[in-house]
Order: sequence, then structure tokens, then C-alpha cells
Amino acid sequence: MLILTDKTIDLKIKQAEIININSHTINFCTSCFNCWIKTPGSCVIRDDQVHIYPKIAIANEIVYICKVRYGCYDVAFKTMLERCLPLQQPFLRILKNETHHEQRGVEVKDAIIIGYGVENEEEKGIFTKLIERNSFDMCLGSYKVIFATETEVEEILLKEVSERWIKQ
Amino acid sequence: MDQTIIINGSHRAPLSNSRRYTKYLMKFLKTDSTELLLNKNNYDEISKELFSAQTAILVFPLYVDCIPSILLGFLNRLEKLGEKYKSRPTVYIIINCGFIENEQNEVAISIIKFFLKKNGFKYGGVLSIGSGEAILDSPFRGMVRGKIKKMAQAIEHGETICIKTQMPISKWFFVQAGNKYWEIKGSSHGKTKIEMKTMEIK
Ligand SMILES: Cc1cc2nc3c(=O)[nH]c(=O)nc-3n(C[C@H](O)[C@H](O)[C@H](O)COP(=O)(O)O)c2cc1C
Repeated sequence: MLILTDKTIDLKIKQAEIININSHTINFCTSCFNCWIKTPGSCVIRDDQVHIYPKIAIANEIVYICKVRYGCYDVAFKTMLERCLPLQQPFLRILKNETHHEQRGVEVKDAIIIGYGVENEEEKGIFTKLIERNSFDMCLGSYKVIFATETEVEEILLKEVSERWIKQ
Repeated sequence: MDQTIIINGSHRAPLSNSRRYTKYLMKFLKTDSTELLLNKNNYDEISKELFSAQTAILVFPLYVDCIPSILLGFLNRLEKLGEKYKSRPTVYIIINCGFIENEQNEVAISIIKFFLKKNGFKYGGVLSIGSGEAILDSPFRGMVRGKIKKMAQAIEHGETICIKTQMPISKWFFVQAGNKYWEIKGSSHGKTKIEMKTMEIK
């Protein structure tokens, strides 16, 4: 179980690795596409992200905890996701009647997405739609989107992972 | 004087497709316009220009089904600085995505509209481009040029607009052509198709 978060989580979950992306240096993707054409499967920016994306690839159970801005992941989380391009091949396929990318060795995931800081129902709707779109190229076979206030996050995290994965 | 600014939100702004779309737009706009390329060090400078403009056009790609983080960072900054400024330009969008379906841009457009509404900007409309990486070097570039011309006219008349375009080919054909394109790109770096399809992630 991999938990990616943009806020400090003061919890220990035996089965999980928790990565706080704010304690890592993750630079912007430069859109060079070298991870497809020059060093396939590997990003040429050798910062902390090169230790994170291989873990995302092999995770079967994944949690995203992120601040939501205008219905989008906030900058730090989004930067990390953009740097996951090495997980995909440049080659295309048709999935549910849409064009998408072929994946490399990426496990299909069950995901819990906890978004905090949303302002209203419209913003929740945009973020939920975003996760639905992301599920194609992020290999989210199934997922649950939950909205919370920042202070509720830990309690919800504990409840959701134990109900969904630990108690099974 | 009426001022129109065009803000490029691509992470490879100087070499981007967004820039090529911008060039067409500037050609079709009869009034003067200024092109500004976002980077993480010039948010404040560009914000200042934006708040004093009458019209702003955001030109950017789709990344991970939503807006590039460099552009999101800029919107966050605009929201902060917005308290200091009274006037707001009308904002138009030109968005392009790599996949053929322009519908894949819809969430990103909603994100920008949400930001604009929240911060009191008037939304002018959108040109949504699918197959945005490929169309400019294809026989269909005239289609996108035509749409940009329409967009320029709407901007000049202060009209709202919502238009879309993409290559008029089947998804199957797009996949074949796209795969060939990437194979050639890889081989120019000495990579075979098999190497490019590696399952290994490191
Ligand atoms: C990090 C990253 C993520 C991308 N995500 C998507 C995507 O979700 N959907 C899509 O259709 N294209 C995606 N693309 C492709 C770009 O939208 C496409 O290449 C576009 O033409 C780039 O425009 P630009 O040159 O103006 O930056 C992505 C590209 C990068 C670098």
C-alpha cells in the first residue's frame, strides 16, 4: 500500500509506505519526452521523483491525499503526477473508445483519493470528473473519491484503508 | 489603449505547439498583441500585465487530463495578487491535447472557468484542439488555422465563442500514424521499437 500525500500525516500504518511529496525535491516536467524516445522508462531529471514513480508503478493499493484547487490537484501534487510520464509508452491504444497510451510494467490499482480544501459542490464535481479521466492512464481499475476538511484527513484515511484493505 | 496579451502555459513554452498556435492567432488579430511565456520566476511580472490588459488569452496544453502545473501555480498567484487590482480582463482559452479527442480537454476547461468565476473574471470562450501535437504538421493544419481565425474575430468583437477541432480521421488511423511517428522519433535517438516498449521503469 502506497500513500502519497501533500500534507504531513502523523500516522503509522504497518502495511503502508507514506510519502510526503513536500519533503522531496520534485522539479517540473519539461515536456522533453526523453522518457519515451531517448531513455525509455526513465526520466532524465534525476531528482527525488525518480525514487517515487517506480513505487507508484508497482503499487496495487494507492492513496492520494491532496489539496484541491479549482477542481484540480494543487501544484505540488500535480507536479509529481506530471513526472510519472515514464510509466507510459509513447505508443497508443484505444480504450473504451478513446485514444490512450500503452502502459509499461504498471500494476492495475485500487485507489482512494482524499481531496481536501474544496469550496463547493461544483469544485467537487470537477475533481471527481478529473479522477474519472485519470483512471484510464493511471491504471486505476477501481477507486473512491472522498472530500474532507484538512483536519479530518487522518481520521478518514485510517477508516478508509482499514475498511477497504486491512480488514479483508 | 486596448491591450491584448497571450499567455503561454506550456512547460516547454519557447518550443511549444501552444506557441505555434499563438503565432497564428497573432497573425489573425488586427490589433496589437503581446506574447508572454510563463516560467516559475515571472508570475508577478505577467500578473501585472494581465491585470492591466483588456483581453487575455491563455494558450496551453493538456497535462494529465488537466492544466499544467506551471499554469496552476500562476492562477494561485493571480488569486493572491487579485486583491490589489480592481480591473479584470476578459479571458479566452486555446487548449490543445495530444490524443485525438478534443473532448478530453473538458475538465481542464472547467478548471479554468471555475477559477475565472471565483475571481471575478469574464470568460470569453474557448478553442479546444484535439490531436494538437500532430495536426500542425498534417494536411489538416488549415482546419486549425481556420478556427484560430474565427477565434481572433470573436476576440476582436468582444464576442463569446466555443469551438473545437481535431484531425478528421478515425481513431484507429490516428493510433497507427501516432505509433509510426513515435517509432521514427525513437529511432532518431538510436532506440528500436522494442526498446521503446520496455516494461522496466527506473
Ligand atoms: C506531462 C505530460 C502530460 C500529458 N498529458 C496528456 C493528457 O492527459 N492527455 C493528452 O491528450 N495529452 C497529454 N499530453 C500531451 C500534450 O498535451 C501534447 O503533447 C501537446 O501538444 C503539448 O503542447 P505544447 O507543445 O504546447 O506544450 C501530455 C504531455 C506531457 C508532457
